[in-house]
Amino acid sequence: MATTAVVLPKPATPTTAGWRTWLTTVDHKLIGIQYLVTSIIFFIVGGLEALLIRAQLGAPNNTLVSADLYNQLFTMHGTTMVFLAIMPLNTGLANYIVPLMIGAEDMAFPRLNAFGYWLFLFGGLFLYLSFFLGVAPNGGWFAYAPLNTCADRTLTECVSAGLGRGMDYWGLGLLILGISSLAGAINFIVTIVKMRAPGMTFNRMPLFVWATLVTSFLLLFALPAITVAIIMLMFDRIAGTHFFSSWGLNPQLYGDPLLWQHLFWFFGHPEVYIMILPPFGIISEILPTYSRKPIFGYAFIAYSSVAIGFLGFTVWAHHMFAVGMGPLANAAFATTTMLIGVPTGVKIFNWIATIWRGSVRFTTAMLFAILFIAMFIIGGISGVMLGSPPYDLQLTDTYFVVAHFHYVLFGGAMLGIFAAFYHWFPKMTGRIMSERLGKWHFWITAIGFNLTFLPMHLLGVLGMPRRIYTFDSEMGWNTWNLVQTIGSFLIALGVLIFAWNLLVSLRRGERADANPWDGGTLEWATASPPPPYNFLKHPVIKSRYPVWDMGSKVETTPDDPAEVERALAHLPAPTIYPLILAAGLTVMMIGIIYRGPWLAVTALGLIVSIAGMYGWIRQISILPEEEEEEEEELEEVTH
Amino acid sequence: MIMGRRAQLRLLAVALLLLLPVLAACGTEPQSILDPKSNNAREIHNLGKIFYWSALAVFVLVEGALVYTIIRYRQSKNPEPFHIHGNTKVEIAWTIAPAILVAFLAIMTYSTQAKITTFPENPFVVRAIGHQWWWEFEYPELGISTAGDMYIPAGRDIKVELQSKDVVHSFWVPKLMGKTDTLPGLTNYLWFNAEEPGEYYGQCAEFCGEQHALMRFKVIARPQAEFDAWAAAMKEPPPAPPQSAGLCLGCHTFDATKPSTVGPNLRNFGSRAWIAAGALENTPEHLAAWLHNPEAVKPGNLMSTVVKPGVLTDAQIQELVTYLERLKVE
Repeated sequence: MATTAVVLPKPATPTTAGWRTWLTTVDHKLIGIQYLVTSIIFFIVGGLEALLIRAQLGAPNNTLVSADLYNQLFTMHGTTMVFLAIMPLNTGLANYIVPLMIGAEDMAFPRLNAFGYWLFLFGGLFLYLSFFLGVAPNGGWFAYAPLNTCADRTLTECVSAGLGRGMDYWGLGLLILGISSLAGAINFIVTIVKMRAPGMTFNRMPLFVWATLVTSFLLLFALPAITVAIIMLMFDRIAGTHFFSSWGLNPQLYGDPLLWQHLFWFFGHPEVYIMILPPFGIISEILPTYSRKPIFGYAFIAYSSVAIGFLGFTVWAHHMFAVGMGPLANAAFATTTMLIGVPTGVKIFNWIATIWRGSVRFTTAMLFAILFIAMFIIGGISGVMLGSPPYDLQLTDTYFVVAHFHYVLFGGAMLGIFAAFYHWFPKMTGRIMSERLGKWHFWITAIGFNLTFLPMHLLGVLGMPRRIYTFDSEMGWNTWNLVQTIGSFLIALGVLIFAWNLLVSLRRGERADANPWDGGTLEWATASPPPPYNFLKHPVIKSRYPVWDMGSKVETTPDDPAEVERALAHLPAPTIYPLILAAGLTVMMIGIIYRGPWLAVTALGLIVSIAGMYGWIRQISILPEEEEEEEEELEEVTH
Repeated sequence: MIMGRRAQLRLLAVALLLLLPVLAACGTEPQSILDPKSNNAREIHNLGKIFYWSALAVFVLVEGALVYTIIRYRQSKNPEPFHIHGNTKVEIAWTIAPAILVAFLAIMTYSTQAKITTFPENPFVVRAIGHQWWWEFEYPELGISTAGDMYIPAGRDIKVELQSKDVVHSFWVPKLMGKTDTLPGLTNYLWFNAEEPGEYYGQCAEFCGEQHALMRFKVIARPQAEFDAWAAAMKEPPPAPPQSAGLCLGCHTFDATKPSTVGPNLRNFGSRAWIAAGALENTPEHLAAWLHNPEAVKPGNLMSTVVKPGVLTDAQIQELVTYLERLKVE
């Protein structure tokens, strides 16, 4: 960057922001970083749970952890990785990058954005509170009924042995996280539809923005199903209703256990695409950058995201081929499931074609992107196999399924997210992550991942069911389980190197200029890290890769302090109220779990929530004047 | 960096050789699906082979294209990228190609599914009922009931009626048939014909609570005549139980013609290989340990709400072990 004589207000970056800023910020960039840091910590915690699981299964008849603790571990591992790691990692990246990519100064609803983050943090802490109280959820992240419809341990009342308050924490925690995701989804949709820079048509939007848009719509339509289902489940658990349960074997009291499965998977399958579509978008940004070549088949990649989004709502019952839906229903869901392989294949072919005849730089980000494609191919193939009901009757609920979705969610989503970190870290911090440590991270992860998850295909075929805490030595599963356990510790070593890389690069990483990777999309036009207002003037977009096509002309280096001041004044003021409202809502849930006198806690939470809402609304009610001024300003400009 | 064609072939050969022992090992495992022992398991296995070969072809083609591309077009080899935005003809081609493949796989799927879901006439019916955490087997035509081991006549079409007493379980004997869930309040069905006499391992495959891992069972297929002899012997009244069995009778029965109430029917307990659905091998020492403190063996099980250490004296335990091991039906 050229040196400027003007003294600019220092942007609050991860290294310069004080704790007060962190608590009150409504800047999408800082909120993005809060999301990323929090979810990386949850990712590490979920990984530690996985290590305990693998340690237990490293040998037959192992007694390292008890049956109940094992069930808690796999329940929390699944719940953590889905709701507290991959989803918020995607949200954090999109939070930071999407407004920059479309040339917006912030998200459409900055306070709602902060509210979403605080709900995510408190929802996660709420869930983990159960762990510290020794009653972590133990009924599976899928919480099947009627296993999970009864809160009491007494066997005579309900046979749901061993299931205590844990699943209450699970249900209410997920409700909190659901509100957070919903707030985020609405915010992204409005931001992307309404706040694109002049000239950035839908047809010129970066593919990561496309992916975020489709993902947000998926959240909007999928979350209601699980929200309704969890509220019904909580009624079954707390109020003795029988939506899903059938205790006492009284025909009059039959709820339908399958209703839960339908509602859960109607959310659960789109959820897979909610996790994987943003990494699809990440890959579609990274491959062109390091191949120095525009994406191949832009429209096909964008539209295949939309196709996958639609089809994603028509395949949920392929999780239920074994429940006895009958051959016709099974065949119908098999058809839609196999169909979804087509747009997925189209994406993979377009990615390879993007590299084709490019000039490939093997940076760490690019290596992870390539590994993503290679691993996702395997996850896609095994997905088609599982989509065939007769074969699925053998493979479902075995380790083959565990292999399949880890190839999709680790080999896919997580590797994409690692790639994103190496790619956008310089934009966020102004420093480049160590490529040397990055390469170590890459190779160790590549080997560890395949050692851990490739043999799981075989174990599934050899008849090893999922979710078993012990197995007999005569089953022929010993060797591969040991290999997997060794592999899982290699993955952990990789993650350790990654975390270390983040920390040291933040302080001592090589300085990055605005565009260290020679990227083509708009985020590379502004400084690294960007100023609070992102861009001083709205750049006019004429193509899909404005920075490549217009060169330094889109560079928005500010030189007029008055302009900078005006841009800063335009930003919404920091506020504490989203945090207060989120805290109040979370406290309310604690009382609901224990009820009785604990309902006083719920009342306290309600009061805090109302105070938060009141403060928030009061702040907003001052706004119209400001906006009028803005409009006047705008008129002046346009005249 | 690029190796010669011969080196590549050599590498491929080594890789395949390394895979051989892996492939050869498959099939000897008691729950391997690669070693089908019934008509329907074989149908599924044959469908699986089509999927494996298709998967291998797709894997080699697509991964090969990826690897070739990144090596061929690395920066040092190709410093100047070729700018192209897309090609509609190519897009159409690689949309249609996978569509044809999945259409083929779908048709094979429908055809296999039609075979395994068409129920035979006059099957022999066994009712399998899932409990936390053991399997009950009823023979409606014979009026007998057992648990843990499911005896069937070999070479006959078997229709299994699947029910659950509590939560969702899944009935799975990999060598005989794919799994089907048991649901409270509903009855599911599956069928197969185990051609050969033999013992086939099964296991609950749907997470059903704390001891999901220890909900194992066996299917024991015998020639029709031997099966009939077994069924007749099962109908015999059991030897008179000792005094100390009074506590057991609250939940169990030793008479196969009476339905199980809370716990497993124990008529042929002495013939079973396992105690508590796979928790322990059935030996007198293990049985004594189980009767002393079932919670230590299989935490969370229903019996440990009644039988805690000290409830049964050592003498009573010895008496019960002797009696239970005598309950053999061959």
